Amino acid sequence: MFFFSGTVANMANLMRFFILLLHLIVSTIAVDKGNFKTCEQSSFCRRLRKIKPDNPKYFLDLDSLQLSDNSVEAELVNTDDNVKLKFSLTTLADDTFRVIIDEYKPLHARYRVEGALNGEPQVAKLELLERDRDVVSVKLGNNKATMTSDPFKVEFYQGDTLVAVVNSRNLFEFEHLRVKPVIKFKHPLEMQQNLTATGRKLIVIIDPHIKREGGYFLHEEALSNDYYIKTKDGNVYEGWCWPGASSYLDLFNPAVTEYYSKLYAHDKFIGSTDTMYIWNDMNEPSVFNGPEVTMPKDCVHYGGWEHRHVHNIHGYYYTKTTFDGLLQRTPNTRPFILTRSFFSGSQRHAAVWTGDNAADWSHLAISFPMCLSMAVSGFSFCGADIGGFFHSPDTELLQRWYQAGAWLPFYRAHAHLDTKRREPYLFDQDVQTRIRNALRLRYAHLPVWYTLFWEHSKTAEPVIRPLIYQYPSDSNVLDIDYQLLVGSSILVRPVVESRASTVNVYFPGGAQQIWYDIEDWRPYIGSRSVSVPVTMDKVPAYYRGGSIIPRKDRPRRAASLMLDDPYTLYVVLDAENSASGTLYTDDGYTYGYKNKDYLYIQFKFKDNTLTSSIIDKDAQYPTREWLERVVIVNPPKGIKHAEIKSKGLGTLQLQTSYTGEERSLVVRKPGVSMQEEFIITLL
Amino acid sequence: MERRLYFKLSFVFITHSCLIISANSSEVPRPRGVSISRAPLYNPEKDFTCFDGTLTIPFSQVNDDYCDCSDASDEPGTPACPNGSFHCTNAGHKPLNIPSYRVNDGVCDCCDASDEYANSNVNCANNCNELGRSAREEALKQAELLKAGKQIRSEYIQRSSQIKQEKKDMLSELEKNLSEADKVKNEKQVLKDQVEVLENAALQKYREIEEAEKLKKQEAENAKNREEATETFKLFDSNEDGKVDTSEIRTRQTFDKDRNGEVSEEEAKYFLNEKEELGLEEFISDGWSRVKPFLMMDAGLFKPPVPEKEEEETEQVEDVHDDIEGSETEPVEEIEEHESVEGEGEEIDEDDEEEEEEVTEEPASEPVKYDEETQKLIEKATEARKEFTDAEKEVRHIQAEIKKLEEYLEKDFGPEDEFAPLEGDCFDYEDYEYIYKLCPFDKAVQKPKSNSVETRLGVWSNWLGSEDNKYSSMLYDRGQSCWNGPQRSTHVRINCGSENKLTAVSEPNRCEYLFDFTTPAACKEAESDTQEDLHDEL
Repeated sequence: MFFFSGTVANMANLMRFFILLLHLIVSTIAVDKGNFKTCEQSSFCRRLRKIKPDNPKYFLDLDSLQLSDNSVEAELVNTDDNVKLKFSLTTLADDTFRVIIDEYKPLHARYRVEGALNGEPQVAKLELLERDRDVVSVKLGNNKATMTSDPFKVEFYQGDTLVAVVNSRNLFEFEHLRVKPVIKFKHPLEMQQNLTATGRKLIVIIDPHIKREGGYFLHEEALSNDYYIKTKDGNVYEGWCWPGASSYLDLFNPAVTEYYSKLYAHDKFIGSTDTMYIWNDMNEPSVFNGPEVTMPKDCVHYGGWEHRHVHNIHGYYYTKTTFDGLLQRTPNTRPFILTRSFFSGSQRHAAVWTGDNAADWSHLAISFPMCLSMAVSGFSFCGADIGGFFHSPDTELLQRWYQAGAWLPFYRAHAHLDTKRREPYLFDQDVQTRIRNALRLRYAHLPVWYTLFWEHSKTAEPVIRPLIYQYPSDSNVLDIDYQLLVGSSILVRPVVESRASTVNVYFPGGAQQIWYDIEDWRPYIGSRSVSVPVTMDKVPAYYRGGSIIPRKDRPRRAASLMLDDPYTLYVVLDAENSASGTLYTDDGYTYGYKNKDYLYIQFKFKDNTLTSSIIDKDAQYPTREWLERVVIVNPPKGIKHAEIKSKGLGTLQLQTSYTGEERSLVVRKPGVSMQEEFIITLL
Repeated sequence: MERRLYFKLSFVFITHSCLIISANSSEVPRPRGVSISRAPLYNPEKDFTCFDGTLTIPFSQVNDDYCDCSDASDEPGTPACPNGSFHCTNAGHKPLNIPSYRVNDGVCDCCDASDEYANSNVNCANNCNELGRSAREEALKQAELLKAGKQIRSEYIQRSSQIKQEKKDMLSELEKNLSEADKVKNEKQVLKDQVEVLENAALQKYREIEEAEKLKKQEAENAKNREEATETFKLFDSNEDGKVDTSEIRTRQTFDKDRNGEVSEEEAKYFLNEKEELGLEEFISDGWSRVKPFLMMDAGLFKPPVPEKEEEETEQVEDVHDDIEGSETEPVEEIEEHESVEGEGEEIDEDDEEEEEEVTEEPASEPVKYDEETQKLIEKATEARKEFTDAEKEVRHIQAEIKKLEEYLEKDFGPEDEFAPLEGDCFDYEDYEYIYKLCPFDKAVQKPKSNSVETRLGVWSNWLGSEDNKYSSMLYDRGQSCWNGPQRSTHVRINCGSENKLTAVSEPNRCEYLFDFTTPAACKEAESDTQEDLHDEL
């Protein structure tokens, strides 16, 4: 049709016109099959193609025959799956037969055309002609219907002439309504038991769209309580998301959040346990068929607010509701929630990830500026999907991502269902080793992260920091967003370039500031840019001279299994041979800290003496953690041994030993409990 | 080689029983987490030197929960070293070495509970006796399975050499038949050629008649065209000057090609072969072919394709397809096989071709009447042709059979052909939604329970195991393509079992399937080695 719409009459157009015309003529003969799904790609078509006349599978069970004045009814049995259908033949006025075949108890009723008929047809009395085991024959005026049992067949005669046959070639097919079998995660409690047995926890995804389905308790309760967000006309808003037709709870209504948060109770959330936590995705809310893939701006919330006014805070209310729900479900236990949508205040409830990224070097690189921006805006608990969500990373990118991501607060490997599997154990030994090393380094630093998050909650200082945050007067760091500081003590330059053999690292802080490579304790002087050689095993990371870093260097299968493990203190001396740092610890999961059940410790090193002192004197926590080792980086020369003094230990001699060209000194096994204040003197 | 392996195995068994006895009666004194065999390396009377020789420490620093040795040798019983290993005696069951990071982490890893000694809140029960008992029962069962499997395997080897011999015999028989059939074919060809020469000569005169008729028709067609053109010319030549010019064309809306409401000079010129005006002859030769399509379109003769027509056509094709399948005399099984290899689309095409062939063989619509003698010749020739075709078919049939046999004989059924008896059989595995089927050396398929439509997950490709264990894994590839995805493929892991059985199916990557298949054909001595490994995992 479109060739009639041309407006410019020149030769080129004319030629095209004729070519199109020719095309059309040709295409009536040969349609391009590529434009259509093949039968193979349509399950419906495939099923029908397979029906063969030589395989009759229906028989009419004449033992079940019920004869009335104007109808014949019997069970029609599909011998393949043994499903019984109701066959009925009714005799109507004007010598007409009517045949209806339907399921006895379908999953839901089938629509029957009513409007097309001028009322129900009038029935007429039938006459039984013949009935035996295989055949039943009935007469109506001059017409006759013969039903054969096996294979099922109905023949209609006018006088003696056969005029119509039902299922003459055994191609009759009736697909009964079926439910898809639900087979996945059949034993959620046992599954979680398997996970938690080794200290791991399950996080399940809960999204805000509610499937509009009759019989779904949540949908029905939301409808009857009027809990859904409305359209501008006051009807329940209906959008399209993962489950299909969906509606959305109006979380601006306090009654709704109260209702919704209670759904996290174990008797409502069947299969949940106290150690199961929540991932809130799609909570912008995401609506596939909405403008900008969200809800129309003129949808109306509780209080008459249009969606345009409250859109940005929708995700906040959603995670807050989850937070309240988890807290009600498992009192005195800190909820864990991962969210995609957030607002000011969401940092009190949830961690956030940077959304659906891709397995691409640029996406690895950008995750640092993204999380740094959020951190200085008040939201520190941020990370990107390791490996990239879409597409498949090569092994180099995957390794680099595990190494780099270990230095962002939220650390999660994730991938789209359709990507190639990428669990670390699927790769060569050397790839596995690098990923394992990255994970171990991450876990070793968990005390640092935990302490930083405690301080973050008290002072709002970001957990990760761009260089400009810590060194505002250094104009060299203004546009550095590819390096980051973890707290104020760890400087990281992730490798986000393919096949890198060197990377540039800028060391801030002035010439007096020395930074030490965390692998070999090599010193780097501040306010300089250095091209640092890297291998696949190397990610440049440095401790600041003057800092004390608490680590747990014993690897475990899960963070929860590290709870009682001993610490190693890395005391990194500055130019004045002094250093300081803090450590926060508690039981790791309750709100006991609100009742002063925690330890917040200050470490100071000065004049060859390391002292620990409790900062919050009124807080105490009976921890089983102890001090396993002290590593002095940039140590004083000529130390022979050390001495520890504490209330519990009294005074003890400790062995010391220099390692790595005397760049560090190890103090062997102080063995003191972390809840005790102590003094270690190098002698 | 095999015998030696067997010997080593029984030796291992003996040491195990010793171990159990000694563990039960008297404990050899040794540091925590050290096995009996390594106990002599830890002498409490002397200073301890790390196994790698790098450091010597007082013995009191062994197992003091501080890692002195970089090789972890000083902390066999604590989690202090990240790379260490902890030995559980597991009296009553099998001893076990666990990574030392599993010591004192609150999780019970050793059945004798020896790995969790530090935290009194962790309650690990010693269940080695129960585990040991069931493990020994399991091992006994496995050994019996292996024995039974090996018995069946040797039967398989015998059977396959029989089958192979039969096939070879059949092949040589068929090769004989082939030369025989070839001869017959050649004879029939000669006969056919001879009679066709005669037939041709007789038909020559009828052909000439036909030719003449065709020419006549063509001329009539031309005349009609000319007549139409002339009429149109007269119609267009409104001023009757014997010429059609652009002004006369421009009055006719039909020629408004760009549909802008008026016929421009250029548009008009187009229909006059880019000239201002045309006389009758010029119009017929140069103008008419341009004008005609527009007149036809105007008259509604050209229309966009009507959708129903399309459907009818495809439906016809399907009917043809059905009919042919119904009338096919070959066994149904073969058709299915063919389908699953070639794909449905192609099959339709082939059927179409067959259909066309049949059509052309049928006589033309209006049968020509021949004289009696010619008729006889034609019949004779037809008979000869048929005999030749039959002979040809027979040759092709034999060739196909030979090819099948040769393909079979070329297939790699294992070092001793022990897998050969599996060929031709299929094995099912049912999960909740699908029935999976493995037909060794042929194909892997998936069939939903709700209907009978098979999806091909791959056709036999090759053995895929590592060099020293080539026959431990099979590849079936070139399966049906996934919607927007790759072609399906299937790996089959082969394990020893007393019967042929598909034991598990999974899809570790999208459209890449993994089958586990047990068969007696895989029961060899080497199997017991992996058995040992499995045990260690317990």
